[in-house]
Formats: sequence, C-alpha cells, structure tokens
Amino acid sequence: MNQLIITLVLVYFSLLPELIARPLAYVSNERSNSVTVIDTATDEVVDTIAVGSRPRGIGLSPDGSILYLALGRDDAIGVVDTKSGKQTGEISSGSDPEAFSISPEGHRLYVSNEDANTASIIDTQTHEILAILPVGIEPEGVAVSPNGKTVYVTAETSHTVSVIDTEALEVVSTILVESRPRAAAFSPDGNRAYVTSEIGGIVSVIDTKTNKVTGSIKLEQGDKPIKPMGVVVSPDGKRIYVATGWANLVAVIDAATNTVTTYIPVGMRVWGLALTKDGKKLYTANGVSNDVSVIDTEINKVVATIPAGEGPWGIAIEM
Amino acid sequence: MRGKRFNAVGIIIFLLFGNLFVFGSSHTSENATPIKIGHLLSQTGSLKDKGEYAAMGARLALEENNVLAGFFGKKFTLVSESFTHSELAPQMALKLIKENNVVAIVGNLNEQESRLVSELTQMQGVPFFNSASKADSLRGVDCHRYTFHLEASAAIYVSAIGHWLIHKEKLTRWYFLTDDSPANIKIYEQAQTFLNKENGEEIGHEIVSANKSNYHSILKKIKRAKPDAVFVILNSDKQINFLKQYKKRGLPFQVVGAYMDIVQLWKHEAADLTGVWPTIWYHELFRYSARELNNRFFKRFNKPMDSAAWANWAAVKIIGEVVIRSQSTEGKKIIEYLESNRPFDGHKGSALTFRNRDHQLKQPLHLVTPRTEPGKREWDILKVVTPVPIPGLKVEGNSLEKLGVPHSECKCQLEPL
Repeated sequence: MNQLIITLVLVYFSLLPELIARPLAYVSNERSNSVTVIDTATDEVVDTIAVGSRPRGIGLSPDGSILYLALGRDDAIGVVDTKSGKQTGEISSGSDPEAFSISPEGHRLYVSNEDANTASIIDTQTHEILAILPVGIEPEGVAVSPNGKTVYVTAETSHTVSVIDTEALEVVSTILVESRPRAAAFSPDGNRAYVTSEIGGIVSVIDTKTNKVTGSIKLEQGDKPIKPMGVVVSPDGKRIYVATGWANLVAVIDAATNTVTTYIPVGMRVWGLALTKDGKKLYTANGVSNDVSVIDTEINKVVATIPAGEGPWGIAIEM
Repeated sequence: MRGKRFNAVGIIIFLLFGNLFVFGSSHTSENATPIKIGHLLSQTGSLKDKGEYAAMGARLALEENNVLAGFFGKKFTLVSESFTHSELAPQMALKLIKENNVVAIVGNLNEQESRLVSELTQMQGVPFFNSASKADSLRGVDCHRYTFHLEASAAIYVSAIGHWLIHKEKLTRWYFLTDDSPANIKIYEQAQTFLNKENGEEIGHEIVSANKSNYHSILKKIKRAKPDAVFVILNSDKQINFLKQYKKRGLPFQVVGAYMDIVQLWKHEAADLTGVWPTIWYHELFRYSARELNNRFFKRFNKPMDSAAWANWAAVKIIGEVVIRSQSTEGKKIIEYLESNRPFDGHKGSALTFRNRDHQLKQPLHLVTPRTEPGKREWDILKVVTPVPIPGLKVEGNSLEKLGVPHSECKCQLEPL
C-alpha cells in the first residue's frame, strides 16, 4: 500500500509541470535575479525560478522547452530548462549582454554586445560562436524577421540599425533612424519593421525590402515627454504596441495609418512587452512597480496586475 | 571542439581588438574626402588646463562620428588650432575657414575670444559652437545666428544653484564673495538680480583682488554677518583655496559656488572641502545612458569625463550628426537643421535641443558636493545633490526652457539667415 502511495506521489510530481495550464509567460526580474512564471490562463504566478545575475533580455525556444536569459553581470546567456524550472547552463556572450533574439527554428541566438559594438551569432546546439559582426555604437535591440533571413540590430549612440543577412553572416545594410534606437519588431509578413527611438520620441517604420525608413510615428501626450522603448506587433499585423518607460503608458498604433490610437496606463517604468499567440492579451513588465500589467487588447484596458520580482524587465510567452 | 576553440579565441580577439576594429578602418570610409571640423583651443588663463579635456572630448566624438559616417561613405577629420593670445582667436578661425574649409568651428574659448570668433563666423556663414564661455552677453546683445552654445550661461548656473538654495533649502540671506575680474563681477550681478527677484536678502558682499590668497579677515566678517549662505564667485583655484580655509575655520553656513572646474578638485581631499556647485556633466552620473558615455570616455582615455570634455564631445557629435542627417555641409542648412529642434542625445536622459531665441542648449545640470565617505577612485570625491531642473519643484524658471535669463529680458536679436 505504501509503495502504491509513493508511486502515485512520484507520478504526480513528475507530471506536475505538465499539469500546469499553458501557455506560460516568463518575466525576467533584473534586481532579484529571478524569473516569474505566470499562467496566462489564470494570470496567476505559478513559479519563481532563481537565475544568474541581472537577467534582462529573455526568449523561449520555439517548442518552449528552453528559456534563454541575458545575464548582464555574468557576461553570459543563461539557459533554463522550463520543464524542471532550473537554470542548467550558460553560454559565453561577451560583456554585459542586454538583449538577444532567437531564430524561428531555434537554432541560433543573435546577441547584441553593448561594450564591444558587435553582434554575436551563436549556435544554440553547440554554443559555438558562428560570427561576431561589427555593428553601430552601443548595440541593443535585436529582432529576427519571421522567415529568419534577416536580423535587425539597433545601436543607441550611432542611431543606426544594422541589417544582418543570416545566410551570408554579414551586415548588408545600415539604416539611420532617430536618436537612441532601443528596440525593433517585424510585422508578421516581414514586410515592415518598427524601431523605437527613445530620445527622438519616434517609432520609425522601415520597408524591409528596401531597408529604407518609410514613416515616422511621433509619440506625445500634451507636454509630457514620451520615450518609446519595447515594441511588439499583433499577430494580424494591424496593431503595434509600444512601451514608454517612465511615461507608464503603452501606446497603441494603427499600422494602416501609422497613428497612435490610444495610450493605455500601466505600471511604473514599463519596458518589455509580449503578446499571447492569439494576440488577445498583452503583458507588460513594469520595472519600478515590480509587477506585470495584463491588457485585454479588444478593449485596450488593464484587466489584471500580477506581482513579479524586483525590476521586471522582459517577458516571453509560450506560443 | 573546433567550435569551442573559435568561441574562446573569438572572444579574446574581440576583447583585445574589438574597439580598435570598430573605430578603425572597417567603418571609416578611407577614400572619402574628409569633412573637416575646426577646433579652437585657447591656452589663455584657466582654459589652458581645460584644453586637454576639451581635446579628448572632441576626439571621442570624432571617432563616434566616423563610425556613423563610415556607414554612409563619409569621413570626418578634426583640425585643431591652439593659441596663447586672445587676439589670435579670429585669425585662427579665419585660417580654419579659408585654408582648411571647415564646415563648422568648436571653440573652447573665453568670453572675449568667443565674441570675436562669433562675429567672424557670422560674417563667414560658418556655424560656431561655444563650448566654454558662460557670458550671458553672447546669448544676449552679442548673440549671432550662426553661434550655438553648449556651455551653460552664467544666468543658468546662477538660477540652478539659486533655486536650490531658496526653494529647497530655504536659505534666503546670502553673503557674496567675488573677485574683481569682469567675468566674475557679471556673474555676481546675475546672482544679485536673481536674489532680488526671489525676495532674498544680500547681507554682505566682499570684492577681493583676483590674486588674493589669504581670506582670514573675510572669514571673520562672514562669521559676524551670520548669513544663511555664502555665495562664492571666484576662479576655481582661488575658490578651492578659500573653501579649504573656510572648512578649517569650521563656519556653519552653507557655501555654494556659481561654477567649479571639477578637474581641479581632483587634486584635493574631499574632507578638506565644502560647498555645492552646478555642473553640466559629472563622471559618476550613472542614470540614463550617462553611464555608457562615461564608460566609453574612461575606456578610451583612462580619465573621467568632465564638463569641458562633455561640451566639446557634444559639439563635435552634433556637427557630425547634422551633416549626416541633413546630407549637407552648407552652413545655412546646418543652422536650419539645428533650429528645427530635432532632438540630440547628449546621454542626459532628455532630448536636447537649442533654444530658438538665443541658441542656448537646453540641458539638465546637476548640483554636486564633496563626499563624506571616500569614493572608489581618486576622482570620486563628489556626489550628486540633485538634478536641475529640480524634480518636483514647481517654481517659475525651474524648467529647461526657462532656466537662465527670462524670455522677456532676453536681448538677443538673431540676424535673418
């Protein structure tokens, strides 16, 4: 009888991760060196994972089995096994990694190295560095196109976006955008990219076929300065959501008209954003209020606020 | 195995040569005709000491400009001229314009030199960027359309420290100590005007010779006067000498200065000093992206970035960005671009633009004071008291637009383009 109970308990605990409803959202907390795990079905915290030092950039492998984290003070990309909820390894990345992006099939990481003014391309299987490419000064935001053929790397001090051909492993073009570009995101069809410029207060619209800026969307609300930071595009490509840092707002942009349709008040110092696969819910990492706002994108309102660790920075959601 | 070897070797190579590679020939366009930026470095008076930092700031900006320029097949060079007699300033400026065909001139110059160069560059149609003179007259009666000011004006410095004294510290009875140099007398007049407007009281004013070194009798007068604050307007070396004597005497009144050359403070112990000063840059600013700029400067020169370095860095950086963005080296186009108020990133957390009425850069300052506990490095002897505009302080003039001489009193009349 005891053996049966023990067996059942073991089976229960071995299946526990599978029993947790999915998809899960993972939030990097840069000051508490942890990842908050949120069940997006219930919007409740289901786990907290201890990770390396100063986690900021965050991304999931396509199957959701591996979580990658830019560990700024460890000079590495941390590797977390999402099934066990443990950090299982690190990949050397150069100093103070902040942001990275994962190729669509999950075989490569594209990492910006701020101090070295380079972008590293890393094989996720072998951890081999496939290339280190010079980009602009103070590289930060990294975005991979939906077909995986192009990577955009923003550079804050040179105000540029370096365009990397992922087959040739070289920078094929450099685009001048507004002052202090921070983040980039592609439209689902890959035809457009959106780049946020913090000091310029602008979201630049880029035609990815020509790598030319075709539009500029000014973020402003009265005389209150608004600095665009994190950016995501809805799955249907119709809306762009932009985090605005200390303005504590998320800007909603109509992609057809390139105009801001509304600003949604969220928590303090909103930075990272992530959408659920169906685009119905938007999660925001609020770095000073130490929480995550959940926005219902049909009504553009916050419907839940979830406590996180200290200094939530980025979010990744299972697809 | 091959991968791991590349991994390790690659990282080592890039740690060793990463910056060289990025700032070197890979990005600059070697065959492009260089776009020249003139840099005038006065070796007169206190500017002689600041010249080294001004030159380093300009060099860093040049290297950064060339990363950007290299992407677009262009290249910048810096043509520097220094001189020891003020009257040579316009000659040097003319040489830069006529012989070197510079697109703009950055001047680390005193008031007289700046005025002469400002007049000349106006006539020549070449933009001039003042990175050192605080004189309000250059932003007032003597302003010119082709001149822009990176350094803050005396009135800005005075209102930065004045708002803090009166509205944050509630110290309204001031005792002034100035020397008899025309520049410092003008700052005193600015401070006096500010105090009167704020309904404060001037309870004493001592004018000393610029080479005075013993302040014993003045300290006795200050002690008797019992002011709320002692406002010191002396050149930095004299100011430090006074502050050491003041600290030794143990007087309890708050001391402030209108300005301070922080590089000179590094030669002294924080424990021997007292006072609060406004500054346009400080090497321990780690908020916003100031950390990145401070790190880049230190990594490049193994020295901290001071205000002179920042002002000259910003001037050269702005010129490079404007030329690349406007795709023009024509003076008129550069002026039009700068007056269009497209923001510049000075790593201060705010979008920086020039005020259209007088071409003064609208920029945050910081008030700094000696540390009470030792810092990590020999240079870390100050700490930040507050940024300016002072957060949360709702008084007239506490904004980037209004710091300094009020609009209604501005005597600047810019020429038509």
